[in-house]
Amino acid sequence: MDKTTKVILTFLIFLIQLLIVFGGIIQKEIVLKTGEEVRFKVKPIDPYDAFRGRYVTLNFDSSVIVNKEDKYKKKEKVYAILKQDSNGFYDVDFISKEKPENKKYIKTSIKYIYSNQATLELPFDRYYIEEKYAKPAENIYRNATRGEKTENVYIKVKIWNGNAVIEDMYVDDKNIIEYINLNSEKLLAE
Amino acid sequence: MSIKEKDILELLENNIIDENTAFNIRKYNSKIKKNINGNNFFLMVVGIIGSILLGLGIILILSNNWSNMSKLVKTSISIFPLIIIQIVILFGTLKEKDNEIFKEMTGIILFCSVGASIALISRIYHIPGKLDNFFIVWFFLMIPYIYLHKVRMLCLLNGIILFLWYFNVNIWNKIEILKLAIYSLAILPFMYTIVKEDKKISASKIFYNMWFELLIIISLFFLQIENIVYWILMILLLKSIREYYMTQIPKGISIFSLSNFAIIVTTYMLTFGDFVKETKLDKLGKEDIKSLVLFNIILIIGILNRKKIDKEKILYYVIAGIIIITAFINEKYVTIILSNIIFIWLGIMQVKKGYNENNILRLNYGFLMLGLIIMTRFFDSFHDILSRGIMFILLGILMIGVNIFFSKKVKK
Repeated sequence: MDKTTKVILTFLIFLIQLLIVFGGIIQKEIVLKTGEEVRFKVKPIDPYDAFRGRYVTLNFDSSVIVNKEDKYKKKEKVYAILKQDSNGFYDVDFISKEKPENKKYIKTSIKYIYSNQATLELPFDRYYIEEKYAKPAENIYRNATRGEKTENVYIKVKIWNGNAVIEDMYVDDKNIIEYINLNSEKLLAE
Repeated sequence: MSIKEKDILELLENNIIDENTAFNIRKYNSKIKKNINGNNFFLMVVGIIGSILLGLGIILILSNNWSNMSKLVKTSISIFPLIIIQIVILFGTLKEKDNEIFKEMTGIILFCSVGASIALISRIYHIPGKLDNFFIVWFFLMIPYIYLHKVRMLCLLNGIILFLWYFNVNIWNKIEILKLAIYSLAILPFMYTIVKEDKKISASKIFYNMWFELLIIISLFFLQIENIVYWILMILLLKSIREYYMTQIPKGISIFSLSNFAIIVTTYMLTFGDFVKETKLDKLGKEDIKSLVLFNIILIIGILNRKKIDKEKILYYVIAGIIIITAFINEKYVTIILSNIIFIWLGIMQVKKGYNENNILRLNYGFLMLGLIIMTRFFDSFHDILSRGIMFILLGILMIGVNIFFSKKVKK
């Protein structure tokens, strides 16, 4: 192989590598810039990913009742149609094989299905957080479950064309980092 | 000192030296040249690794305040190292740098940068999913590069990534097994060419060495050794016995030596710090240790008396000694700092030896060790991010300092 071909091919390989990395970024940015805002209530817990670092698992109820006649299968791609509750938070109402009109929806897939209950694989299951904030973030959740204080923990998600990207996480209407900084002494002492 | 070629010719013409002397002088000259090249290469490796450490240290310190930065800044930081290494490789290809070492080293840095970029972007945009997607994207992004530039180490690393992917999916699922087989096809042809080309390492040679190594594993297994001090002493003991009785260990396969490998792995485990707690020092039987230490010392003295002293052999005994002492001190931070430094040093030694022996396998082994320790510390969430950043920067500065200091010395 001569030098020019090798250089051109190397360049092309690098271009593909960058395109895939940038492609991901651009796709997410489009959703963040143009998407509609929805809020989901979450229960954060703090696990660890060896390659990508600390994150908070966003636990929320992603199971829906399905009609057995629709014959949904595991891993099947579906549309999750959202409904808003009286406090303004969103939740999955039902799923459909067809793209809905005039409704807020997310493209997703079925994680597992048992009888008439399907659990969905929602495109936001984790919120990456710096190490120093991970422990306090978990403490917020523990407080909430112990019933000592029920903080209002939720995520803001932007959705566009069925694609969803997390914008930020909030506790009592404050950004989680801001909240932890304000209550750091109390949260770290626990 | 070296005598120039034109001077040799002049001396020959005037019958001051004969052909034989001229031959000896030329031989001497090439030896000096090789030494200087070797030193330059060694310094280059130290310098490059120093710069990488410094760069990563800066990234770590910056990411300490990660949440205060804008997305644009965060994204730029994530992609910057990848673009830099891509430019370096493109420049190298343009200059036709067909140097094996340059190829392997930049290949490994590219591999790490691709992985790091995807990981950091996943963090910034909170991309969901288990690690399987992450690994498979990483795997396929590297495949074309491996074939085009024929980087052997990357082939091995990509193989590891593929298995990491497999262990992250449902391994008993038939479809996943089929996927593994299909994905493997992407890399197997290249692996085949490596094995075919590498005539230096024959299976029989490896086998010849392995039976003794097998004995080590079986003994450790049967003795159920949980204690790190015991473990190292047993390795040393078996290593010593082998050195004592096997006068002819085939050259070039010593890196397959499990005892050396075990010491490297033990050092690596110790770099985590938490491992120290689990060594169960309290449960040591003092009499047993005394007898093991004594037996080792006798054997080591026996070896040193019998043969010309091999620096590498002594090195492993020294390292094992340091590990044992630090395990006894039971001071977590002493062990962490020492074992990290020793591990990096061992890696650089492998690289240097690989270069001098022209043994690409050993060279890669060294690079892999260095890559591994750098990546592990970079993503190591068990230690505070700021202290990790400072450690990276200090080590980086130290290595760049070593480079500058010795470069001046070599020039002189």
